Amino acid sequence: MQVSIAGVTFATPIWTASGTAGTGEEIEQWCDPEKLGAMVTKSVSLKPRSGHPYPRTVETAGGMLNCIGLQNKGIEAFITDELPRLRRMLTRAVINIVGESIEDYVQLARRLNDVEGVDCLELNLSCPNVARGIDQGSDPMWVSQCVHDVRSATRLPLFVKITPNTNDIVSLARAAADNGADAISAINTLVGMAINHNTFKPRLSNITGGLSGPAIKPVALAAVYKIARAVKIPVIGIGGIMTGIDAAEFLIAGASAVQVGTALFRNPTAPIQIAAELAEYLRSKGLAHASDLVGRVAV
Amino acid sequence: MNHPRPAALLWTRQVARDVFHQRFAEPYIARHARAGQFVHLLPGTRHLFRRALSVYATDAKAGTFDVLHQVLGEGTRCLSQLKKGQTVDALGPLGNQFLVPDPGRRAILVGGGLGMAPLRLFALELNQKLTKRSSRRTALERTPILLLGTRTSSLAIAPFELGGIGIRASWASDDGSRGFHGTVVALLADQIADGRIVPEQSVVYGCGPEPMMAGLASLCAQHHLPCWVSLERSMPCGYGVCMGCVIRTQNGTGYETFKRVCRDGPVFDSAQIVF
Ligand SMILES: Cc1cc2nc3c(=O)[nH]c(=O)nc-3n(C[C@H](O)[C@H](O)[C@H](O)COP(=O)(O)OP(=O)(O)OC[C@H]3O[C@@H](n4cnc5c(N)ncnc54)[C@H](O)[C@@H]3O)c2cc1C
Ligand SMILES: Cc1cc2nc3c(=O)[nH]c(=O)nc-3n(C[C@H](O)[C@H](O)[C@H](O)COP(=O)(O)O)c2cc1C
Ligand code: FES
Repeated sequence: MQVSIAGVTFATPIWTASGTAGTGEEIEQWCDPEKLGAMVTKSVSLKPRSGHPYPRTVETAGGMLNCIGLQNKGIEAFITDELPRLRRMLTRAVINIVGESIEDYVQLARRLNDVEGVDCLELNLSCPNVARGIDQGSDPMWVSQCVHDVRSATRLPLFVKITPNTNDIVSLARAAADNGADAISAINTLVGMAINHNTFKPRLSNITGGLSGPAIKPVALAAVYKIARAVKIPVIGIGGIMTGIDAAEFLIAGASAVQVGTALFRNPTAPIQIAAELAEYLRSKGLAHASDLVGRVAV
Repeated sequence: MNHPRPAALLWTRQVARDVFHQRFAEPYIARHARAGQFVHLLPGTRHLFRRALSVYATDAKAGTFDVLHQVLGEGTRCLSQLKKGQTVDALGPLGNQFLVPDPGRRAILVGGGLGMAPLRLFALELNQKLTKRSSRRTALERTPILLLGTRTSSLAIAPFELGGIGIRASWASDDGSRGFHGTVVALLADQIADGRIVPEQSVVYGCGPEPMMAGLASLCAQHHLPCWVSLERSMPCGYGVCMGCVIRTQNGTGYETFKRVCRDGPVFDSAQIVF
């Protein structure tokens, strides 16, 4: 099941998704790190962020909305409190960073250059829950500039997580690929809303939030399929993956690895279970490696 | 490594309109759950998320745990309709627990509605723990005071099996149909005023609807009475990874502004919380 992306090997193509597995401490009690392809950490920013008030989540048909608002300790506390444990964990550490400006991303990448325990960087250019997150992230020019500047600032393998809240996700992927990204992570959540029909009030404190879970899987599959055809770098598929078969479909569509998010809330052992199911599926198809599936979509 | 476990329903008893007491067989939870902790149950495959319920009773020898729940929506309805022998997928025990009072202080348990559930387990725990010779506690310290509130007498649910260890509840009802006429917080104020409860010799443990917890917290603050409250939030994960179930704390700004009820709680020092 081993996969290799940007010269880094991962034990399996099943990873955790940013913001859905904490920073390692919580998940360690449920998942054997050695069986996790990678631990992708919650987005970390330069300064600590408090996030939005409660209510931050709501269950919707086949999914959920969230407006956590990037609550995190900030990069300095992350490096002192979280990174040492992540380093000890026997899995790959993909550190997801988020900024308000290109300069923020560059500073974050530089800071992580100098510390041990970081296997890869993932740029969150797509958070729907902060005022400027999407506007910038849906502009290919801005994505080009941001990826270009971060690329010049770090030697770390660089994954770029793009937003589906655009009418042209392929241009965003190309902008990242053309400027030195090592892989594209797709997709982040889709903007959505829920209203309480009794009180007339939005069900989320921030009014709108990001939709995730099985409801977005078809959107994510289409994005992965289109991006994989348009760029030469690997694609990491994300969106509504609950089972090994879901993961297989993403590989078939062109993903080299996948991340599991919302499924972790229902089942803290989801990535391990999904990896086992994928292995079983590969056996049933007589395939030796996960990579034998990648991009096999018959069109 | 912990993992979700199937818990088989042994029986369901309806104890009031829409309120069900259920016993499940699951040895791990039975052995490890402490008062204040909760289980996260997946009611049926149609649900994306689990539902959090306080542990109401445990029997480590028999390998069972109990919950007490009110049917509110889909999830709790599904649970109430489970048939004997059917299993639910259970995660737990999760969260922190009620801690025994310092020596010289007696526990005052204040429950509103189904908030009684974790307090019942705590009353039993106190009785067991503090009866041990090594604890050197007086009979009074071993016997908590239990104050329970209900809207009206027909909705009042008495905790089971507490009579046997000499704990009797004092009731308060909003309409005066059972016990004290008023809220259970007003009942506590009343008992402080007439000297039956001495703040310097007490610790309050509360569980119930949030407005009641807010009232309890402010009453206790006035009397310099230590107060622990158990809080509820919608909980997508229940084990600390989603950051959805937060409560605002007194810690001003930054990362510490919000704490997770599922993992940093559900039991908090009420002085830490902004209601
Ligand atoms: C730590 C903890 C302990 C609890 N203990 C008990 C108990 O012992 N007995 C009991 O009857 N109830 C308890 N609750 C509340 C119980 O979890 C909710 O009543 C239940 O989740 C409602 O689910 P539903 O599908 O029936 O309702 P719906 O309203 O259909 O639920 C929709 C969504 O909102 C969430 N939700 C709705 N109301 C609440 C609430 N008050 N608290 C948390 N989530 C909510 C649900 O989990 C679900 O995700 C507890 C909650 C927490 C957090
Ligand atoms: C509660 C929650 C918090 C999230 N936080 C982040 C985050 O901090 N950074 C990020 O890049 N993506 C974040 N995401 C998006 C996920 O990583 C993922 O892209 C998305 O949820 C789709 O995958 P899923 O359907 O498997 O959950 C979050 C998602 C959820 C549900
Ligand atoms: S329910 Fe997910 S952090 Fe508490």
